[in-house]
Amino acid sequence: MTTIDRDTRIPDPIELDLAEEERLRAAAGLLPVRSAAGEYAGFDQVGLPDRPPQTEREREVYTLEEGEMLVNMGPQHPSTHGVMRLVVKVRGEIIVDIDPVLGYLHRGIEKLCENATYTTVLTYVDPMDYLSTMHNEHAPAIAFEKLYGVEVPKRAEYIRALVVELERVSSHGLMMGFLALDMGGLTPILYAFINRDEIVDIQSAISGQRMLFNFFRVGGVNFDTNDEFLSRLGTWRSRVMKNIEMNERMITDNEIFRGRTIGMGILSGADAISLGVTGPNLRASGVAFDVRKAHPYSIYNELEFDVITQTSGDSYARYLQRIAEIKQSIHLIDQIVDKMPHGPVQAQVPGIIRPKPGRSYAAIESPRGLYSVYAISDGGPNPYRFRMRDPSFISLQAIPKIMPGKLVADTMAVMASFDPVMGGVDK
Amino acid sequence: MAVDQPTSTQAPDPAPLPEPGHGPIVIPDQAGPDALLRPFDMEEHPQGGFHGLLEVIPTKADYVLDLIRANSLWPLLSGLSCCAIEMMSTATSVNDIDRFGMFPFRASPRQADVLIVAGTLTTKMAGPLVRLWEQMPEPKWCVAMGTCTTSGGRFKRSYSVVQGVDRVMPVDVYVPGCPPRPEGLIYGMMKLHELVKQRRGEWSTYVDRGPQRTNWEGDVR
Amino acid sequence: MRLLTERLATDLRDLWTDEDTVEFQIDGARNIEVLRLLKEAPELDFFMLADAAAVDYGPGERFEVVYHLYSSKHPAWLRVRAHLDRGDPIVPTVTGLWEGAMFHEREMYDMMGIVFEGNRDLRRIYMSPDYRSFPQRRDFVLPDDAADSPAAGVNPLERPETWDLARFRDATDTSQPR
Repeated sequence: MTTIDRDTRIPDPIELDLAEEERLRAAAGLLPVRSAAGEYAGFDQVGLPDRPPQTEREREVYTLEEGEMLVNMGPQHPSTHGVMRLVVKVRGEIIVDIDPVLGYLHRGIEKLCENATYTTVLTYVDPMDYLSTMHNEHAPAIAFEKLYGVEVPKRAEYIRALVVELERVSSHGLMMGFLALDMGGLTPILYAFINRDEIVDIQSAISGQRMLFNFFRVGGVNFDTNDEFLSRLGTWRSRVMKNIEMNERMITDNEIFRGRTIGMGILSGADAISLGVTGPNLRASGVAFDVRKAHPYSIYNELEFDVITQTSGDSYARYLQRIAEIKQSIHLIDQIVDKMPHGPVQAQVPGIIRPKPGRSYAAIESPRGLYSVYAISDGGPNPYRFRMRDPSFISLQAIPKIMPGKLVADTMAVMASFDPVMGGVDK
Repeated sequence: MAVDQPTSTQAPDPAPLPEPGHGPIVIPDQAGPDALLRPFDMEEHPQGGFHGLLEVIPTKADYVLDLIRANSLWPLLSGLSCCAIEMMSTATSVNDIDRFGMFPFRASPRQADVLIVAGTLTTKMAGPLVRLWEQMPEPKWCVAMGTCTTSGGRFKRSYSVVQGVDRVMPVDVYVPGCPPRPEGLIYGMMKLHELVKQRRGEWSTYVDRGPQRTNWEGDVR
Repeated sequence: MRLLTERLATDLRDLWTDEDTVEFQIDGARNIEVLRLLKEAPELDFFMLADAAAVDYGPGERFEVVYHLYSSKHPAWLRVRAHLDRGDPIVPTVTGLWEGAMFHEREMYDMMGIVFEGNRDLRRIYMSPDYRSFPQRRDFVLPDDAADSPAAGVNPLERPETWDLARFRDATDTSQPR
């Protein structure tokens, strides 16, 4: 009869205490167990910093308690925001903390602009927030005009506002598509891109490019409207209201969509202001701040529109806010087309402008929030310092504040409702 | 050599090699160093022979295999920046690359065939992108979309932009434009189809030198 | 403007106004007090920090941290320029007043090397954590830039004989402040 000799039994790993396990691991040539509860977990996992934590916050994020784990939603992930990395500390499926790692698209645009003439700067800033290119050019154009002291002709201002509002419609429509895409709905993105392609055809008729239009100049715009532009605009305008309503009807009352966005990612108004969130995200949290009304630039004090807000600050509110703003923008486009005066579209400005030394600040309302430019000139052909403040960059700070407590799968949904564009985040 | 050299000083003729396109390849034992090159017909295989590499003659079965590969190239969802929006625009309804079989933009590199590098490659992102490329199984192709990936583009003298993605990985097709029109990207994809069918391009001549690194340490950046 | 001169007379150095901006300079060490006053005083009420930027005035000159503030009671943007020494660019953080200043300050640290004491998370945000220089400083130069430049040496940064390489010789790891 065989007996089981207790002394030669292979010990069960769960029964080992830590010292025993360390000894056995050392004997086997393995590295010791490092990520015990309460210890800094950066050393064992690939992709996380393998150096001592540099800051308090880093130590707080990368220290694991019992049952927690670090998951890396890496720079390439199926959601379409671009290259951003989120290191998510989860306990099971529940998020405990998030650390966004940015900079995967940092192209050094501010430094490049210091060696470029003022007109060239307007081409460098295009690919920042690449979904709303006209806004990217609008803010530096205003800043340089203030520096140079040139008056923009009225018709140019109206054309600027027209293309800018068109861009806003296109960008908000894409947000709707991306929000549904991040939740798994593959159809609304197709409709959003149809919408965008129509608008992009209109804009290509006036500027020649589909996406990174090099359209604004210091002192006006580059081309005047032509027949093709106006005919495409008219055709589009006659169908857009029905199209937008069809697109939003697809998902607004969809119970999966509502279940995944209502109550998710609630951001209160005071928090939003403190975090620097601006734009539709701020207005969806109840604060009525719109740069076009607060500090009117261009011709916005001649146009009438409302500042819409929503009461709950959740993802659904941000989505509804953007749909409402699309309708406002279409209303604005109607007014602009009605009121457009005749005249030149570019002031008489030399090719290389040399403004007097000074500083200027220009802020506009981009589809993501307050987009502003602070420019310093020293009298030469290049700006001395060209600084852009991008709204997506600052809005990303809201993510570590509102996500803890939610499920991992909601991360991307809430991120999509903030609509960040990584080109702007990383400059 | 002069023509009237006595034949006794020359090496005996190797056995006659089969003509191209007829029957299986038989490499006789006394074959010279260019024996593998002989059966290739220059018209059929434009790249000619490969020194030291065994390559099969394109037969009908191979042609069908290449057609299969070409008509269902699955791209990896790796849009970095503005070109990604044009890539998405190519993938959606108005310009549709679903008709070429490229509908599923795979999220995982293990399931993808083509890496369309769409957008500016920065030095911080170069590491993850090369890791993605290495994770893709053969056969794989790389399309550099846009001027930022071709040569650094408008960010030519920037401190953090890799001046062209061919500095870090082999590229098959360069699609110029900033961003390239969807029609341009589709034309690039048609060129890639040609590459696939002719077995040109980087993967078929890729010499397997073994794993390039043995561990992942020091690889966090 | 009148309010500003009343309340902040000891700190203001240079008041300037345009049709849509009011600007004044302060010393870097006083930024928290001044900004807190601007934010919490009921008739000033600059509740929103619109922008926090850093400016480098050259290799021998100062740094500046520029804050732009907005108030619903006043029609103009307010620009607060905080003067810093280039040799010792340490300034208190304003993340206590606005949490959204965290990313601004991280970017200013990453690009210029300005250290914000009290900031709980002063890491590099754009560059890799082991990057050893501060890209947006005026004396930042890449040595291979000169060879590629089509102008080939018009810019003094493109002429290697004008570089002072001694300042790179003792470059320490700059990913962690001090």
